[in-house]
Amino acid sequence: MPNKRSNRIGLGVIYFLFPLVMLWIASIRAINGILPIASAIAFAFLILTIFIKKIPRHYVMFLWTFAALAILVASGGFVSVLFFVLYLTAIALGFVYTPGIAISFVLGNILAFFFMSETNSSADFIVYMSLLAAIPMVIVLRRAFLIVQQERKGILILETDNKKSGITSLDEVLDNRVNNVSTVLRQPITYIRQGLAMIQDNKVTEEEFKKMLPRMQRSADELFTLLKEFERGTTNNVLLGTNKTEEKGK
Amino acid sequence: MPKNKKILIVEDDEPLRDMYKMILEKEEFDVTTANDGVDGLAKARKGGFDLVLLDLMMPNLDGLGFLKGLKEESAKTKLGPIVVLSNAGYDTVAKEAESMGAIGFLMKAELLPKELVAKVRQYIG
Repeated sequence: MPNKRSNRIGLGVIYFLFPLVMLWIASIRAINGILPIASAIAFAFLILTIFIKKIPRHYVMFLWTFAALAILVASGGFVSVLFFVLYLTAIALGFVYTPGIAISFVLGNILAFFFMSETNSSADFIVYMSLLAAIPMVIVLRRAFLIVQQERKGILILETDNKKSGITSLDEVLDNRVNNVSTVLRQPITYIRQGLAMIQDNKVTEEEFKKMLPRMQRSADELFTLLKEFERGTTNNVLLGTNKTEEKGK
Repeated sequence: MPKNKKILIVEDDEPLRDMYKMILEKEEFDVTTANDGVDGLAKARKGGFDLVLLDLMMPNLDGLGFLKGLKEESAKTKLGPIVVLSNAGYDTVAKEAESMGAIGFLMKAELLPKELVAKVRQYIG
């Protein structure tokens, strides 16, 4: 999935640079004065987006980030009482995109603060720590959100943790357990379908038929086992065996 | 289609590999099989195949690795078209395979023997 990955990298770069660009804009005296108005207009557009269907999330996130940073810069920067909008933005980026993009945004802010900061006091240290605190918060909240979604939908949407380097689209697809299991399930189905079609078309000799039959049986057993394991792995429900069913019947 | 049309099947699943071999041999194709990407690459390097049917999910070297390996030495290898035959039938995977030299993508589970033969004939031309 190279396009998806390069999109994520591109967004990471954009949101890393966003606070730095806003800082630069704020340093231009002619523009600085209109930032509160620009921010208010951006927030007004954001409210309008609630009523517009199918608006691309990129636009909404871009508008939100601009509005948040503009209001922050206009109200005193990192010492503003509106400092919390940075957390909200980081969390929103983590939810809408990925935690990686949220982290890029936080790191961009840290760099912006580094350029702004004139002294090296303990207050600066607290600001750095405060900004960094957003990173675990984004990761933990997003994971909790995915677990809730997963339980609600009854399917596994979390990706497996063993990410590989030099990842290909095949690896990415197979990292999603649902796609992985679906792909594996289709394998024995393929053999059964092909075998049945050959038998129906009278294309197999008796010898070939004798060889195919146990293989079709094994494929059917494999399908059943895979399905049972998938069900247990995703819903935590264990399918009752015949013996257990009988015991319950008693 | 003359008997001497040579097909290389790169497929790790033995029952399926045998099934494809049987289907195509009944249609008088000359079939060679390879049980993974490494074996497939070794056989493909020798050249002389009119078509390669390539699985993607394989141990040792997967289908994309096979395509990458072949792409690096494409000038030296005389080989017919490569068609991916996989159950990982996703658009992104197909596009990546095609960008690496495959000319088509067939979903294994959807293809019945007759359709497979028709597709093979179509790709060999």
